[in-house]
Amino acid sequence: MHAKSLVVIDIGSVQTRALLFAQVEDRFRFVSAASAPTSLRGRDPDVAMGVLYALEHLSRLSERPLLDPQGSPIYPERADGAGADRYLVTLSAAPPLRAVIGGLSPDWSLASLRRATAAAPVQVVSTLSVVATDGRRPTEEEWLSALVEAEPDVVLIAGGMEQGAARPVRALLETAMLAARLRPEDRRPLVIFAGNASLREEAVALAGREVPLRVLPNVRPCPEAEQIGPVVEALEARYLERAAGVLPGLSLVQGWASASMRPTARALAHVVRYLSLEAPERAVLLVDLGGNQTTLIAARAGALAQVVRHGSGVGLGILPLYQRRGGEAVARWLPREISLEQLEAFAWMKALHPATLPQTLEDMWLELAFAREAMAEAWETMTGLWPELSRPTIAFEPILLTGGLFAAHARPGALALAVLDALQPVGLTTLLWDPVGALAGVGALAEVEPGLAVEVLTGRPWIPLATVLAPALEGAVAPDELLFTVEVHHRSPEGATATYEIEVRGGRLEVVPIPSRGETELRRFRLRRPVDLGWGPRRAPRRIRIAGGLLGLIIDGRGRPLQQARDPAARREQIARWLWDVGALGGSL
Amino acid sequence: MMEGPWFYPGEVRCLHLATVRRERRLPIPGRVRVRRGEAVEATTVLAVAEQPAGVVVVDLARPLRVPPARVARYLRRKPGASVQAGEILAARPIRLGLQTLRVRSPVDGEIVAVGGGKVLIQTGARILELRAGFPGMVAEVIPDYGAVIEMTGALIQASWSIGLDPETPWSGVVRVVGTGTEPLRARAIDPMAHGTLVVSGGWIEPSGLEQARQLQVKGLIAGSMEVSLLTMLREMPFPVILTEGFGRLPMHPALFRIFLMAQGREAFLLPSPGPMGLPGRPEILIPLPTENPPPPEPPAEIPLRPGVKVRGLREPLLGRSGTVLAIARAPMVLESGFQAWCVEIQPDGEEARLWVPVHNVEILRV
Repeated sequence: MHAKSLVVIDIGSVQTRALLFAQVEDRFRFVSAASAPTSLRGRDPDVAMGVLYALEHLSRLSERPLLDPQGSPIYPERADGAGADRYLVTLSAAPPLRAVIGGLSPDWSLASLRRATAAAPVQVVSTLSVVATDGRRPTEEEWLSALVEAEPDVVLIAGGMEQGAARPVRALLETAMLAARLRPEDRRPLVIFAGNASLREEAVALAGREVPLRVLPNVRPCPEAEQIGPVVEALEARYLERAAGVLPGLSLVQGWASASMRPTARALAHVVRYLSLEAPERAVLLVDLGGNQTTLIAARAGALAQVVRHGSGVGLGILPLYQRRGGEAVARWLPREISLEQLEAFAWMKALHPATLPQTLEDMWLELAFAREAMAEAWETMTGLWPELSRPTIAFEPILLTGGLFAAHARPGALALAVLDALQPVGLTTLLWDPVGALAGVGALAEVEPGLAVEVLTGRPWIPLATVLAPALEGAVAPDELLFTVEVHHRSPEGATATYEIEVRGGRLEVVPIPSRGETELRRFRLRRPVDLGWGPRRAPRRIRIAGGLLGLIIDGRGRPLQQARDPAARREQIARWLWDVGALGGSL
Repeated sequence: MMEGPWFYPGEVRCLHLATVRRERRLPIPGRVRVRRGEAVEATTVLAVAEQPAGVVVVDLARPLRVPPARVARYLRRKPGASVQAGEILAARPIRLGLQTLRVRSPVDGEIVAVGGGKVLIQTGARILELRAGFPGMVAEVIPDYGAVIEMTGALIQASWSIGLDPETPWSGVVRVVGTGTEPLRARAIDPMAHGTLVVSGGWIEPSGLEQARQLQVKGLIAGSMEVSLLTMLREMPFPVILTEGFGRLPMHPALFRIFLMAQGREAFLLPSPGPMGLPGRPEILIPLPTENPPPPEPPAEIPLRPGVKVRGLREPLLGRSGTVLAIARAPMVLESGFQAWCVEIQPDGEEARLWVPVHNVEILRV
C-alpha cells in the first residue's frame, strides 16, 4: 500500500527543512516546505526542537496539522487530513567522521580510498602509506603515533590486488588494531578492511572481540577495477551511528521516522543517478551548497562521482572556507572595493550567526562570492579525483542547484552567474533550480517508495533557471570581439513566429528572454572566430531546440577558463558589467 | 485558517540576578569526586580521567621466532601490568630448554595491548582534571562524567572568546574602564588594572591590547574588535571575550550596566563549546549574595512576538537593538533578492522603523 502523504525532514547544520509530499488529485507530488534553524549553538542544543519548529511551520503553511497536542508527529494520515503516512529523515548536520586511511600505494589503493572518503561525510586526518612519497618506508611506530594522534572515528585499510602483496598490508592492519585497543572501549574506531581478500581472516582474528571491524570487498581488486561503493555505504552508516551520539535530540527524531535515516548526500545521489539513467548519453551534475557542507554529484549512465566537502558553505563553513581560499580569492568576485579585514570580519560574523540572511545587495554579493569559492573548490576536488570529468572532456546537462544558498533567492541572475563563474560549464546546458530543497526529499522518498519518487520527478519539482550556451574559445579574446552570431526562432502555441539575431561578443554575457510557452530553436550559427560550442572545434548544429527558463537563454562569451582582469579596479568593473548583464547589479525585482 | 507561523531565533541572556545551573562534563569517562549538595569552589576538582600519552610498540614474534598467533603463550607480563625498562616481557625456551629467547621492555610503562605478535606499552598518561569553574553547590552528579553546579548571581552570555580552557577555571575582579562606547585604547587602562578583569564597552584597539599585556591584566572583556588583531590576540597570556563579535560594535548597554554594578566583584569566565566542536557562547558568571534564592534562569526559547527585545545580527540592524512591533503575515522580498519572513523593529532611541528577516535578530533576555 503506497503512502498517501509523506514528510521528509532534512536536518542541515543551519536549517532544518520539512517537506510535504502528498497525493493531490491523481498525482503524488511535492506540496509545501518550511524550515527552522537547526539551533545547535544555544545552551541546550537539541535538533528535535528544530524539527518540531519546522513541522509546526509546515503545518501552518500547508494548513495540515502535523503535530499532536503533545508535540509528536501525527501518523498515519487521519481521515480529517491531519498528519502524514510516513516521516523520513535525511541528515547533513553532524560533523564528518575523522578518518585515517592506509594503503599500499598512493596511486592505487590509496587513490581509491581517497575517492571513497571524498564521496562520504568524512574528513581524512592522516594517511598511512607503505610506499612513502619520499621513498622511505615509515616505521610502525610512526604509523602508530599518527593513529594515536589522529583520534580517528574510522580507520580504512586497503591495499594489495587480489593474489598480490599481503605482508605490508598485514603490518598496517596490525598497527591499526593495536592503536584501536589503546582507546577506551566505547571510543574505539571502526576499522574497515577493504584490501587483499587473502587477509580477511587475519583481519578478523586481529580485531578479536575488542575492535569493531567491517570487512569489505577489495576497493582495488585489479588495476582496471575499482569498487568504492561498499566503503562509501559503510562510512555513511558509521556517520549516522555516530551522529546519534553527538547531536542531542537526534535519537528522538529517529524514533519518529518510518525508515532508517540517510545522509542528505546519499538521498541527492539517488536523484542524480535516476536522471542520468533517463538519458544515459548525457552527464548530470548536482550542486548542493549549504551552511557547512558543499556537495557535488556527477553521474553518467548511473555511474557516480561525488564530493562531500565539510567546512565549506555560507554558514558555519564560511570561515574555514575563507581560511583555505584566502581573502583575495573571495574579493575577486565583488563589484565593490572591500578591505580584506572587512571581508574576514564578515566571515567571522556569518560563522557566529550562520542562519542570518543577506538583506542588502552588498551582503548578497559577499555571500555569493563565498559561494563561488565553495563551488570552485569542490569542483577542483572532484576533477582532481576524477580527472575524466575535467573540461572540456565532458559537458553536463542539466546542472541541478539545491541547498541553503539557493533557497528563497529571488535574484535568479545572481545565482546563475555565481554558478557559471564557479563551475564554468562548456557547451549547452540547463540550470535547474530547486528553491525549496525538494530534491533531498525526493531522494529520501526513492529509497522507500521508488514509484512515488519517480512520479514526483516526472512532475519536474524544480524551476528551469536558464539555458546556457558557453563556448570554449581558442586563444585569447579581445573584449567585445565578435565571436559568432546565432538566430533565435520562437513559435508561440498560436503559431506566431518571431526571429531575432544575437551577436555574441568576447568577455560578455548575452541574456535572451525566452517565452515560457511555445517552442524555441537556435539556428544559423555563424562563427566569426574559432570557438567550440560543444559540438567540437569550429562546428555548430544547423538547429537546436532549447527550453529557456526563468532567465531565458544565457550565452556566455567569456571563454574558458574565465579570464578576469588583473587590475583590481578593472576587475571590479568587469564583475559589475557581468552582474549588469544578468540583471543582478541592483534595481527592483 | 490557521494563524501565521511562529519563529524561534537564537537568544542571548544577560540577567542581573538569577539561580544559574551549569553542567560540567569530562570529555571522556572518569571518576567523579563530589557528592550532591556539596559546596564547591571554582578550583574544586569535580572529576578526573586519564588519557594515554606516548606508546611504544615492541615486536615479540620475530625475536621469539614464532608466528604472531603463538606469541601469547610466551608472555611474562599481561595487559594492565606495569613494566620497567629492561624487564622481560616474553621468553621462549629453545634447544630443549638449554637456551632462552627473551624480549625486554625498552621503556618504563604499562602494557595496554597485545596483538599481531606485538605488545604495546603506554609510557605515560595525561590526567584530565575537571574543575567546577565557579563557586556554587553540586545540584546533581553525572556518573562517570561530572556534575551540575548551581550558583546565584549575574549571568552574561557573550559572542566569542579566546584563551579559555574548558578544564581550567578563570576568574578576575571586574574593573570597568571608560563610559561604555568609546574604543579601548592604551590610555584607558591604568596601572590599577594589573591582575584584574578589564571590561570595556567599546571595541579593542591595538594599543589597548598591548597596554593590557604590559599591565598583566587577568582578562579582557569588550564589545568587539577588528579581525586584524587575531594574530596579536593569540599571543596574549590572558583570555579575551567579545560580547558582540567582530568589527567596531559597542557592547549592548544592558550588558555594560551589569558590569558596572559588578565593579570590584569576582567574575568567572566559562567557555561554552557547542556540540561537535561548534562555537558556543562563552559566559560570564558573577556570584552575588542573596537572602532568598532568586528565580531560576527563564525557560528555554520563546517565540518572536510584538514587545520582545531583540538585537540585530546583520546589516542594516547590526550592533543595534530594538523592540518587535509586528511579524509579517507572508514572506517579504528583501533588497538582496531573498524572500524571507520578516519582523518590524523599532530600534532603541530611533524614530524610523525597519523590517528585517526573523533570522537576522536574536532575542535579548534581560
